[in-house]
Amino acid sequence: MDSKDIQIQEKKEVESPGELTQEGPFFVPSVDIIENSDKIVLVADMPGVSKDNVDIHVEEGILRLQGNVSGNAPGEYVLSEYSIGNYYRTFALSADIDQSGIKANMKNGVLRIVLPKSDKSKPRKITVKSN
Amino acid sequence: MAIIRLRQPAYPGVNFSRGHFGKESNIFENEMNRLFKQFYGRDLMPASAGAFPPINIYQDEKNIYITAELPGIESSDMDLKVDADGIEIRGERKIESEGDKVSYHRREREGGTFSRKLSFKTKIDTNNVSAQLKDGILNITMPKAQETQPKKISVKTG
Repeated sequence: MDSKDIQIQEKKEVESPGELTQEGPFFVPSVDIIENSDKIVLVADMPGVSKDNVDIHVEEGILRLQGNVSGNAPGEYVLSEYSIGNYYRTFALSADIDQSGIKANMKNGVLRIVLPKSDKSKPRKITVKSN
Repeated sequence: MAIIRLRQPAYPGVNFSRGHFGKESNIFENEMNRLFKQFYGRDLMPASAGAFPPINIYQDEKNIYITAELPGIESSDMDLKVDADGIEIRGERKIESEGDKVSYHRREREGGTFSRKLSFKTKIDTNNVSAQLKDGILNITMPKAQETQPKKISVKTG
């Protein structure tokens, strides 16, 4: 087996929730941001968020991600190793994203957003013709 | 080969110190929690065990409930084993490869194997344990064995 043990990551609380109007703690989801020649993919861990409770907002080059967690404690607390709260994170998008083509998919508490690059920023191969 | 983390914290049945058992011995902690909550509007930060996945444990008269954060994990990626006084969760979180010709701007999500073992002082009715994985949260409901549930005794007048 070549796999390694997973290391736990503490949840980080959003530091300046300036514009948030909801009560309760907000956490920063862990993300991967992957770029290839025609798109940027953003993958975020948001356990407890169903696809109906995720809100993705793009405005003036800022992608805002919010996931709400619902549910009550089933009994009295015996031990708490993680806090339950909503998720919030913003990302600055570069101008070369085709904002109308953004797609998102939520599965098992993991959000995957595909941000296609606009045509003008895709690498192009120029064929040189001989006269 | 993965290293198996063994943790055997004292759970229901002993005076565990989260302020819910043996009220008298935890007056100070309860008071601290109350003050903290009053001040910050929420409970004290949770106590991490430093092991994946992070779990929360709850109980009521009939059941012990365990919840664990397992984002991106399919039920086929994990195993759950239960016996009369404990439970073991193990599995692997797989992070899909995004291909070769890519560059990572952020890489905060981690994959790997995990294993946790929890022991309970309270006996579990192992035949009726149920578990559900939804939106990356594992929910386990473990009924307490009949003999450990509180019984109501009717007092007769003689």
